[in-house]
Amino acid sequence: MDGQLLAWWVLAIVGSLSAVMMVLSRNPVHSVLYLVANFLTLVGIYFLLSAPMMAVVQFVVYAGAIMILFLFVVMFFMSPEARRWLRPEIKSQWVFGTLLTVMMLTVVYISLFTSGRVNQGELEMGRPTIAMAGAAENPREELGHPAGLGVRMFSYHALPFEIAGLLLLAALLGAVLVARDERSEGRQHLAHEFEKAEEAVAEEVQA
Amino acid sequence: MFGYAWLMIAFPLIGAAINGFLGKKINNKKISGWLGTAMLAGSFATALAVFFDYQSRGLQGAERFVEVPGWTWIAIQGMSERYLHIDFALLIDPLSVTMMLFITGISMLIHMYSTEYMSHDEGLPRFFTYLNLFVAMMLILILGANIPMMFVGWEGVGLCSYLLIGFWYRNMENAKCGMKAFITNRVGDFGILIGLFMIFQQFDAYFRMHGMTEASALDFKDILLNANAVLSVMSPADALFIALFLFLGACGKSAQFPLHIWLPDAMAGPTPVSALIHAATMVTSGVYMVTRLNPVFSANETSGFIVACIGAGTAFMAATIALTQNDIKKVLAYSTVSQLGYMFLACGVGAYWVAIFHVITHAFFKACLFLGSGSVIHGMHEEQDTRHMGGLAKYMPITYWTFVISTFAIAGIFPLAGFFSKDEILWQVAIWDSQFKGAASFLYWLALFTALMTAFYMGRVTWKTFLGKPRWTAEFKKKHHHPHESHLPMTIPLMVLATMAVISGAILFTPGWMTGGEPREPLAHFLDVSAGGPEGLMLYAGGTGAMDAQIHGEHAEPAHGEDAGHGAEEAQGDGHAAHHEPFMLLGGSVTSTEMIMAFGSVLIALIMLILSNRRYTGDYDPKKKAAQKAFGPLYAFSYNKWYIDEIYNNILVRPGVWLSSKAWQIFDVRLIDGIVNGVAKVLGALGELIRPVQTGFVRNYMLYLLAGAVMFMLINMWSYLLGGAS
Amino acid sequence: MIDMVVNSVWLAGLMFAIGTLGVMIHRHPVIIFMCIELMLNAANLALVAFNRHHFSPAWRTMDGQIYAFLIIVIAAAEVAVGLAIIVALFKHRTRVDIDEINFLKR
Repeated sequence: MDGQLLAWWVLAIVGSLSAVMMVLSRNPVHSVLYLVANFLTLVGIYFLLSAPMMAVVQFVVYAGAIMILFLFVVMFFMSPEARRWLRPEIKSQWVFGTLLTVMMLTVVYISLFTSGRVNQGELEMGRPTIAMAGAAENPREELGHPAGLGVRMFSYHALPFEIAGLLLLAALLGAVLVARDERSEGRQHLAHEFEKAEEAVAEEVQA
Repeated sequence: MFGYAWLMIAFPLIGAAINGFLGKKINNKKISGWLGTAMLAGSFATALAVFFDYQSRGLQGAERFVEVPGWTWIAIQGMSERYLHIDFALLIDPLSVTMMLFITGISMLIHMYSTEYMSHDEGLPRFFTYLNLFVAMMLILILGANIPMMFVGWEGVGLCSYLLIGFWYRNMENAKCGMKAFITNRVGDFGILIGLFMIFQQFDAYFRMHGMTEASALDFKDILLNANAVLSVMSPADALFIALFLFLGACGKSAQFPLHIWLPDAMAGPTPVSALIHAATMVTSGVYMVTRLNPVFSANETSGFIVACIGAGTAFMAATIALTQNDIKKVLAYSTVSQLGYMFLACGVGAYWVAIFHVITHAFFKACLFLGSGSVIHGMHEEQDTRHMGGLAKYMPITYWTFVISTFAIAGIFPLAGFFSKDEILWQVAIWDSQFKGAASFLYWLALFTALMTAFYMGRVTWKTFLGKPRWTAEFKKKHHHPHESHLPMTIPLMVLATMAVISGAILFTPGWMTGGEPREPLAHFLDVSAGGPEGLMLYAGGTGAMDAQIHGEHAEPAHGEDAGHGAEEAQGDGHAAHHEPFMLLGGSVTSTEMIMAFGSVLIALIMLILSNRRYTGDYDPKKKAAQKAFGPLYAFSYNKWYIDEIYNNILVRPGVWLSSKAWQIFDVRLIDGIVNGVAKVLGALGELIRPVQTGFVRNYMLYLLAGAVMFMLINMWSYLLGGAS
Repeated sequence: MIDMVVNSVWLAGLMFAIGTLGVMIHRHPVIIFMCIELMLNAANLALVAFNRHHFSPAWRTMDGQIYAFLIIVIAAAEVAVGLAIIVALFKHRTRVDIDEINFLKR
């Protein structure tokens, strides 16, 4: 077992445990932190899978930005009574949910296992290794090289890229629109009007 | 050729669309009204252009039927190699040209009149929408090149008349009158549908048998040009039934006995509508249809005789009813029924062009009479009862004089229009050559007697309304003091129509005794090919028209009245010489006989007019009820319209109502509602059964989603494993 | 080396299953949302692993990683809108229970 594989196992175990803890935790703040931990292990795994760019993006965008957003929401809107809704969940939902999840996992693993068996011979005939992946004469053609990714992204995948940009813009507008509280704005405006009216009355009284 | 004829239909349709969709937005009665009028003016201009274009082309024989292609309307590929192919196309032929000229012209005048007459009505845009649509439908009816198109117009005018008669629908009585018109017309439509189906069946079978793949059994041109060939192989019973069913349809639209009951009730609509229905559109469509398919009616003398009998009988009956009615519009309505009877009498004896001639002259003087009565009603502030009128001549001079002129025209006073057309009808009845010669002489006397009554009741209504002492109601006197003359938009149409009522007859036809030789018959020669004239008969018999016309040289050029007339007389042939015998008077010449008959009828009419003048002016007072006392039951019989409405009510309506209420109770309530409610109950129970699944919890739905996903995965894996194992 | 790639796919399956379980048993919308993020990441991991698996000197495709990037973009958009909805919900009621948001049923 070489060092890379050892590192992978460590990361995988930590990641799985943190995922399980995230689900089982009763405190949403803890859940968020467990999920951050899970994402950080994923960063390592991406490095091991020769996807450095992917790892960096995961680190910055997911473990950084998105999870901070989650943390904010959880912390801002957690009232002291918030813990009370963390009572035990419906039993039947637990039971059936777990049952189905296990079934799904079983099915996925069985199919993974069988397909792995079918392809075993093919794999042994010299499927790529990390050494081979990095063996290109032009470094841009190495797996996960940011330059190569960029070229591919802005040529072949230009349209999905643009559409994703549009989607982000729409999400931005939508988020602002949904989260804005129109009633409170109106109330503020009204209060402002009242203030002005009172001032005017006061001025008149003074005069 | 004549592609621009589509404009004629397009104009009123555009007007209807604008007024219908934007009328409320425009919200200006002046604009709405004059827009509708302008559209009709455009239509009339188009009709004039088509007429002069048609005349200047000098078409001959079969060429005189010009089809204006539109677009493919219905195309069905049958089992055989023949297609059922129906175009939306126009047929420009002498008949449709004649009809469209006076339809668009008179409609234009009526539209102009309505702008003033309806100016106080809130629903004016709606009114003009219907009016424009009505004219458009009538134009489709007369211009359609095939039977389905004619039927579209046929139903279209039925619909529009329903909408217009029930225009003031807030009053239940008016709405009922609209329904009565609609339902009575349905009975007629049943007849015409059967007739048209039979025509299609017979002609299509013939064309199929003889491999005439180009000819269409729905196309008027093909029907007419092959008429005699098909009719000669048809069984006489078939021919008779076709004619009778078609005539039933014509009875519905043109208000002949026994389907005449809707027309007098059509008075419920605004007066311009009555004028439009009675003069220019709707009622003329029956005469048009009979003329259009005239070979079918000529094929069998029996059918012609039945048509003539119904026509003369209706004319007589309506005239007797008109004698005692007090409502000014009712009298005019029954006079229309009576005059339509004359037209069918002419159709029945095979003188189709005379029927059309009377349609035209009648359109002018009847439109004038109706618009005049509208003017009276307008001036008297919605008073319609002649018993409460009298002495209006002083206050409404234009209305009075135009009304008098039209009365004289309808009574048949020389030299007004009605004299020429009515006398020609009587003459044609007299010289009719058929196996029913004896009965025809009876029809002649009946028609003459009807003419006598016509003069009397028209004189009665005129003098009663305009002369004598004012018998206005106290309420009217208190409110308005005296009636007022109408404004120009209403009087101009009156004057134009009165002028036409004077001159149109003499222009279109002059009998032989006046010209001192052969009669001058421009209309007859113009209509020749369409209305069963001599050349038309040759075309129907399978001649090629132009070639035959060369052989018969003289009447090849329709514009040459005298020569062509001579030819026509000859071509009508030996019948003419042989059959004025029964009516030979004063030495036996045709001319003198005709002259004496004409003078006789004019004399009778004059006497009747003078009699009625004496009776209904001076110290006439309806409260004395002199006529009622003098004639007793006869008066009551006439006043109650021969009790026909009551008879229908008892024989048809009541059992119908009983039957439908039973049917409703059994079929609707028990059967249909039972089925529907049963299905609903079953579905509801099913829904209750599955309802608990919908918990409303998102997580639960997620569970279902996952269950479905796992199931699909299992299915996939199952087949994969099986495949892998083998 | 091959072991690591294949194992990564197994790990992705496990993470996906854990995420699914969380979605189903939790009632708090934020945590459900986080579970969904976990599932998305599992899918990303699988994509990256497969890309690694199929990359060869002859066929130098990096499309798997590009898909993963696009998924991250879409996840970011989804988080923005989703959290905005949750914030709006929080504003209207103090308790937010996913089981109480069942207006369609009522």
